[in-house]
Amino acid sequence: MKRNILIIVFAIIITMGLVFASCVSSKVTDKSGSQLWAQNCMRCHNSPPSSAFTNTQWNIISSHMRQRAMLTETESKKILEFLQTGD
Amino acid sequence: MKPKLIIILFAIGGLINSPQIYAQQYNQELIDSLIKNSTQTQVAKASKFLISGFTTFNGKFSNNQSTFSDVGFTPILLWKPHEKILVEVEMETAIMGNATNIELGYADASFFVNKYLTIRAGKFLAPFGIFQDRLHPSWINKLPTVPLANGEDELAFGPVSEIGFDFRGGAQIGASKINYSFFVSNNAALITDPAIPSKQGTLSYGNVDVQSKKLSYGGRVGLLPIENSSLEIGFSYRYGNVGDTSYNYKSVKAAMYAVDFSYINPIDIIKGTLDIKAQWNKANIDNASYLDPGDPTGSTWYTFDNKRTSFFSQAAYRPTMSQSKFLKKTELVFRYAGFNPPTGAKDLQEIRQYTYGINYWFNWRTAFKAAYQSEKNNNAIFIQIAVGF
Repeated sequence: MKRNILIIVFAIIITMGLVFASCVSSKVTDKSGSQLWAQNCMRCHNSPPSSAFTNTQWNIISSHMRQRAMLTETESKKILEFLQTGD
Repeated sequence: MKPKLIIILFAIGGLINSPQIYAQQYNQELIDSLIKNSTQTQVAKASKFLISGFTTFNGKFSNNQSTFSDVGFTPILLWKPHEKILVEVEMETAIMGNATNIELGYADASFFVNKYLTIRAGKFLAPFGIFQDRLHPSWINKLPTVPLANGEDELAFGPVSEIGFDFRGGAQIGASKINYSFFVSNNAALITDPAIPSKQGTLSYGNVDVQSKKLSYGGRVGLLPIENSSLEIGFSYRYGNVGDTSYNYKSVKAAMYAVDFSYINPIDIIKGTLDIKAQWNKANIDNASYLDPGDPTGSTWYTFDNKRTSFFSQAAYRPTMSQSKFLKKTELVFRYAGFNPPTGAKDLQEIRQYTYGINYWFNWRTAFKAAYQSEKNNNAIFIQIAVGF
């Protein structure tokens, strides 16, 4: 048990080190749709290209992902706009 | 004189012919417009639906068994009848033995109330930890197998789905984010049947025929403290009656806890993307008496301290910044998982499981996976082709 705790603590320390090493500070609202697409989709799965679905399909998928991944409304709208228009 | 006459004749001809030309242009524009509108209406009507999902083909090879198994097809119907409403239905179709098994994975309707609140009703994936809620589809799961006690086998004790209402959403707090999901649902059902001793004292979820005065409740809160959303830490809880109305079990309750951890980010110094996922689960179920499966007369009862835990930690590395196209699509995965059974439970023992995998991604949603999984006296090689659609 103690060994497991040590392994977990060690893993968390290593991860936190990597997190802060790669951290760049900026607010979510300042980010572009492409940034939010890259940062949020990959939290669970590979990020899909905009060509994977039609604009109408993206509209449905954005609602599905907003509900499933509990994205904020701003994130969901910006990501949808990026996938539909490329901006 | 002649040029003037020609010009006048042309002008008169133009005046005579122009209404026809304008009429033709107008009619053509009108027809085009009507066709376009009609097409758009038809497309809009037809496109309210989207069939998504995934399909899976598995193989398992060990000293005792070589088989291609678990052929699965899981369509997900998404229907958006209104900008604020979404309906989602997942049908799990799989070959079990020589028969085809169809199961309703989830079927729920979501109403987007405002920026911060979405209400779901129906049968939905349990917001308990991250594996079932987010990572279980085969094209998302990094390995061909599921972590110990997180699937639906005899070791599983966490909720897979719930039937009831769920209130969820996300919000930004400065550069950080928070998300939440709180639910009220039907109670889980305590399994007491001595036919499968290892299942005695475990729970089944997503029941519509559970009889109890009170509902279960619980939820998960996720914190994303880093501005790039790369890190998420979640805390889950579930509580409720689990016994039926019979004298022996009517007061049995279960409290469940989970802590999950997720970190994923492309990192320059390792020229690739590091993806770490972990989850720890605990179930405290009130003590109860169960029929001893070892007694053929069926008259002996036994009890045990029904507390069990499980965990998994998984790391995946994909050299996404490599110059090689082949390496970019290749991913290495390692998972360490464990299960600690209740002391005194029948046919259960502590398990530690090590899984080493390699994946090749043909595109963003299609992968070939191979893994070697090591357990005490139970080592096997697994392969899987997973396709999301």
